[in-house]
Amino acid sequence: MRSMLREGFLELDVNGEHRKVVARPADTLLHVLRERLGLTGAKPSCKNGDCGACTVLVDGWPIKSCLMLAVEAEGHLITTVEGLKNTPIQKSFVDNFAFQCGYCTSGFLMNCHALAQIHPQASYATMREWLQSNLCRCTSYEEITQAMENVLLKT
Amino acid sequence: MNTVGIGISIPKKESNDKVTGRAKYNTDHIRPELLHAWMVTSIYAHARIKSIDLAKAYKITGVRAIVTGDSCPILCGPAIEDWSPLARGKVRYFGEPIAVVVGDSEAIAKEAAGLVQVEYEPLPVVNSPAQAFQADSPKVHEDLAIYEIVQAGTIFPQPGTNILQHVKVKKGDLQKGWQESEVVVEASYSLPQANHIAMEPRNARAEIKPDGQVIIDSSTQGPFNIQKFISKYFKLDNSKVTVRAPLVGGGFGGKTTVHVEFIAYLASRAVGGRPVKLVESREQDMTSSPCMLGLQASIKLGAAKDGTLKAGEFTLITDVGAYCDSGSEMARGMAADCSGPYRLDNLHCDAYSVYTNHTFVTAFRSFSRLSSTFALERTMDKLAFALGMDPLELRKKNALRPGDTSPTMVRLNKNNFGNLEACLEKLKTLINWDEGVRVELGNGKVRAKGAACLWKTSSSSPNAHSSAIIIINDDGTLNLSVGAVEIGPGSKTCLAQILAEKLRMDVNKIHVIMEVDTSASPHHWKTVASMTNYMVGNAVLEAARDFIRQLKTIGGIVLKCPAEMLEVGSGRVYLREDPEIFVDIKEIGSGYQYPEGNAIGGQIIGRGNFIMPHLLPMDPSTGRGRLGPAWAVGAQAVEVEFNQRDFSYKIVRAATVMDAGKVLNPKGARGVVMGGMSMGLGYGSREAAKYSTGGQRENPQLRTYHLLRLGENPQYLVEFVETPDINGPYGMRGIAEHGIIGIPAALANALSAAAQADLDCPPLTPQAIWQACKGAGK
Amino acid sequence: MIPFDFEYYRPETATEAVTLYTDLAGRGKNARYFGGGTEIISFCRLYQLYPHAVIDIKGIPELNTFEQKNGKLFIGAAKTLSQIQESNLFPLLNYCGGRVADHTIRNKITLGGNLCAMIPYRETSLALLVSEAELVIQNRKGKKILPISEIFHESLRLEDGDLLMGVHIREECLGAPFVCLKKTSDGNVGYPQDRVGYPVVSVAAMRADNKIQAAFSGVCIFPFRSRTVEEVFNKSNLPREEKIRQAVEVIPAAIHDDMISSAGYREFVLKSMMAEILERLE
Ligand SMILES: Cc1cc2nc3c(=O)[nH]c(=O)nc-3n(C[C@H](O)[C@H](O)[C@H](O)COP(=O)(O)OP(=O)(O)OC[C@H]3O[C@@H](n4cnc5c(N)ncnc54)[C@H](O)[C@@H]3O)c2cc1C
Ligand code: FES
Ligand code: FES
Repeated sequence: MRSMLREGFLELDVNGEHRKVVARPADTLLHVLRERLGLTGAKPSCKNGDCGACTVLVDGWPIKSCLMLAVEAEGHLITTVEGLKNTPIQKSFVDNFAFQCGYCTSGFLMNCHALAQIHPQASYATMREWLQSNLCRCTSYEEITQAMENVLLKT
Repeated sequence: MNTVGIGISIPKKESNDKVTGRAKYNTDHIRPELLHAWMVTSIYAHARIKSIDLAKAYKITGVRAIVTGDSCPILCGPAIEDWSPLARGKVRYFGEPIAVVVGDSEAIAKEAAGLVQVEYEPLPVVNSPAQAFQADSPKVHEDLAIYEIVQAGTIFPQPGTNILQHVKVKKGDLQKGWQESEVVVEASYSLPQANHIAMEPRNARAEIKPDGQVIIDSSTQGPFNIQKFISKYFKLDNSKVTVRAPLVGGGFGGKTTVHVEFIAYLASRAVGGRPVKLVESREQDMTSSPCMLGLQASIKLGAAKDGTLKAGEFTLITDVGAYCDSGSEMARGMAADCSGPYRLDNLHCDAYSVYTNHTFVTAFRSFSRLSSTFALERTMDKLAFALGMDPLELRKKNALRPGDTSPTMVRLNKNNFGNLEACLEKLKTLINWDEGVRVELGNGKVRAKGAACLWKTSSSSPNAHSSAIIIINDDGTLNLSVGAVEIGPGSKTCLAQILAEKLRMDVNKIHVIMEVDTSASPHHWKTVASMTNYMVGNAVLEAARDFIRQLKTIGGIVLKCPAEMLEVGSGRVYLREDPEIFVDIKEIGSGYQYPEGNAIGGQIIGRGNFIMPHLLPMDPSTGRGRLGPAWAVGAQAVEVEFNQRDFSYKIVRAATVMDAGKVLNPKGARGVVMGGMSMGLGYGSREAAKYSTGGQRENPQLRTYHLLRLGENPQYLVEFVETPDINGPYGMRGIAEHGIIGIPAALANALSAAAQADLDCPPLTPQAIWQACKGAGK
Repeated sequence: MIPFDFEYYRPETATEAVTLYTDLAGRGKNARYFGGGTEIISFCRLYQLYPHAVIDIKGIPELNTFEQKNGKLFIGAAKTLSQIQESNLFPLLNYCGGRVADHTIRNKITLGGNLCAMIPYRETSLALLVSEAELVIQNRKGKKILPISEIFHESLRLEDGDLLMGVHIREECLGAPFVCLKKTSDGNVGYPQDRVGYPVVSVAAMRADNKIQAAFSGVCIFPFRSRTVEEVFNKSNLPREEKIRQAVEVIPAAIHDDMISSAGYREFVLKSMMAEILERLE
């Protein structure tokens, strides 16, 4: 049985790298990624699961890292926005002006990227269901929808 | 793709950083030496603080200091000094900071904050603007009479009451206006407070160096403002305070004021100047830091049978919450624009700001013009109905034109006003208005449209100014440095485009410095009021002229001709009559070296500044005056599909036509307009700060304070009219806020038509519509 | 940021989990089974919960299975709502669970966590109530299987230390005709989900043995299935409007009035949902 009784070492697989970090059992993944690994792409905004700014991928699936303990992530593959390298969705966001302040962008990108990987031919309804998980206060979502649609395969 | 100048959709300069997670916002600076602060906030809306017990909190290992209001006996505020960064004596709103704990980690500070024991004696609560007005209402501020007024002549508090501001605007002969009115409508409206919800919560770091230098890093729209107020209230020389602002994760006006910066400074001071980071939780951002004002309005309009407006009476009571901040200013702004962009020769407006035991307010996208516009534009629709006239026709008939005057007697011309009629004309086609305001679709569904006009001038301080510096690099590229903060709309990219246009060079060769540092960056008032491209753009143009002048001077020496014969473009200084005779700017930008080896000149630095001329404060009894340099005008419409059975609806389309003067970056401009519209639809349909009967905030979370989500957005139709403003860079007008202004009203007009009920109190949730229809017996 | 500390355990068997729970209790430590953890983490952040230890049950293989045998579908309690949705084994549960929170959160929320949640909506319970699911529960004394009606009264009445292992649903319920409706303060929620928020009213209804069975969340302060309401629904020869009028009168508690919805509006929504249920399942 794995147990973690107090602050101690954790081993995490982040963006293809094996990392050893010090954390408390009660630390969220968001906190550890940012404060211990300096991966500040995932953003804190509500820390309550409501906004999606902290979204990262765990085994390829989008997860709100403010509602996951770091210790829960042991043994899973974590991808943060820093791990995205020249993916189509990143370029599509730039081309479609899919951000203004950019604070929600990392979270949206992770969710969009996962959707493109898991359901490359997602229907509009599926896309909406997935992307509803993230909030953006600057754009009108039209730009983000466009950026996503341009990356999904047309059926 | 063409990358020279304006009128083209250059992606934001910081794009690559923003899509790779490399863009650094203020909280992204992770440093082991940072201490962390957490605020203790009030759980009552109005209560006397009987005692604060810190003993338990100090027992937590790693707590370095706890600061309460008693260690900081100051009162501050931009208009009137009514506010203490940490409450003293009593708390006046739920969420008001009472103390701040500094600890080795956020967890430690937060845990200790939970152990600070505050003993309260609850007081009766002022829970609405109407209640604030009652003579026997509890007083939010007993000391109103002795507060220092900072901006004399702009704020008129009434000691002994909760009235903080009373602005009067009087124009024409109201008596005569009513006599000429054949149709009169009158209605009241109530609009709740709401939140900015920048996705990056408000936060700041503070540090005091051993030599006394104060360094504040903040997620702010106004670094120079922070510098000004920290130095003022802590009695420091202005230059002893350095404020830095990196990329900001959204502001919408909420980051114009100085709030957490004061508290972070106090926290750092308490630990000997060590760097302290204070980040608000979402809940604190929604309750402790200022929000958007609420409004209670009554409007009476009179018109002749043909629809010509004859008279108008406006009472606007703004709920500014517990402290003034810019609340008194917003009342002035609303009063100055009270008529909407309509010709109304006889009017009276009384605009008030009243204290309540709600969260205090600050600027909100459009300086809260969306609220007064809601009341006016709903009344316009009611008037159209009473007249039996098409609502868009009524608006067109009364649209202001060059030669008319504003409520505060500013004479309008093409430059300071633009062309509203053209906007209305375009809107009509865009939204297919002639199809009819209300169309039955069968199956219990109705399609309906509503429209509203918008206008807004800025409320800039008459001495607001901006500067810009251009520096040339050895490779011939330029660095542009300005004091405006990048909060999202891409202002820095637009400014680079303005410079590129002037120098006729590739925008990619112009680097913009993203971070603002008050010790190094040129000044800019505040990144607010849609004035950035206008003010800073003018400063950039001035700097560009200076830069060109210097290039030509040295170019003339190299090319052996008078400077007047030269032009600058494509990174060269060349002979006007033969561009093939030229010198590269990189060869002269840092001094020119003759073939023989000796050199002349030096690095070329262009500098420019801009101050807004002709602004005049409003006269206290008539309101005569000029708050801002120009208006931007536009017309908007919303189309809904309404289900008469269950009162739910879908927002199908939303349209805006705005006179932008000149569109600098088409995709960028469309984006900020749509962003504003989206926010307006959110406010119109669901956003509201809800207070319990005790004045406690009930929905300080995004779980229960809903924003629009993806898929709920309608189809957006955005078009521009371009009537240049001769004073704006390349004719542009400030439009960054304006997309929001008429949208809540247009939505309410559409829904009122659909439901055939007066929907006068947003947010228009299905429940609100159900309630209104039930009230109307439907 | 959870300001205080707790211990974390990830047992590999259910026996290990329940033993650990009792051991911790014996040492005066209040433990919590930790499924998706979404509620535990958010409550801890807000000081609404202070466990000394959390027992992460996602490492227990049995709680992570779907199994169809002996005419029943078993869904492990640690299965996430997204996994349930992607498996598409029980459409009614897709609908009920597929509208809880949002898609990304559903990658984390577990069936067990939603059924045992403190946040009162527990929308997945609606599908299980109308399909008369059986709950598999383990504690120190062993394993027991109980019909949901015996143990779900307003909330799941687990005893201290009870671990919910999973649920059994009879196969004939999996394809039964159903109606599932949800409305938030902003409007109707379609499926796939097109709007996020707590329910004003959320209902699931199913037609089985020629009878309508219906369960409700949002209406009262707890979710419920009411036999009396169903009796009214299933009366023959009663006009629909009369059925609705009578049904609203016999719901088990006062209609909830809060900032999400007034009681009056909830009643209005409830009635229109009842009408739709009757229209589609009668
Ligand atoms: C953004 C957001 C939106 C939400 N919206 C909705 C909504 O619309 N409708 C709705 O119904 N709910 C909603 N919720 C609440 C949500 O349902 C709960 O947070 C969630 O169901 C908890 O599931 P979990 O697996 O994360 O549980 P946990 O947080 O792990 O646990 C919750 C509780 O259940 C107990 N528990 C968990 N598993 C077991 C088990 N196997 N046996 C015994 N006890 C167990 C835990 O000890 C704890 O007390 C929302 C939550 C969020 C974060
Ligand atoms: S910060 Fe995690 S969802 Fe908002
Ligand atoms: S770009 Fe600012 S919140 Fe989305």
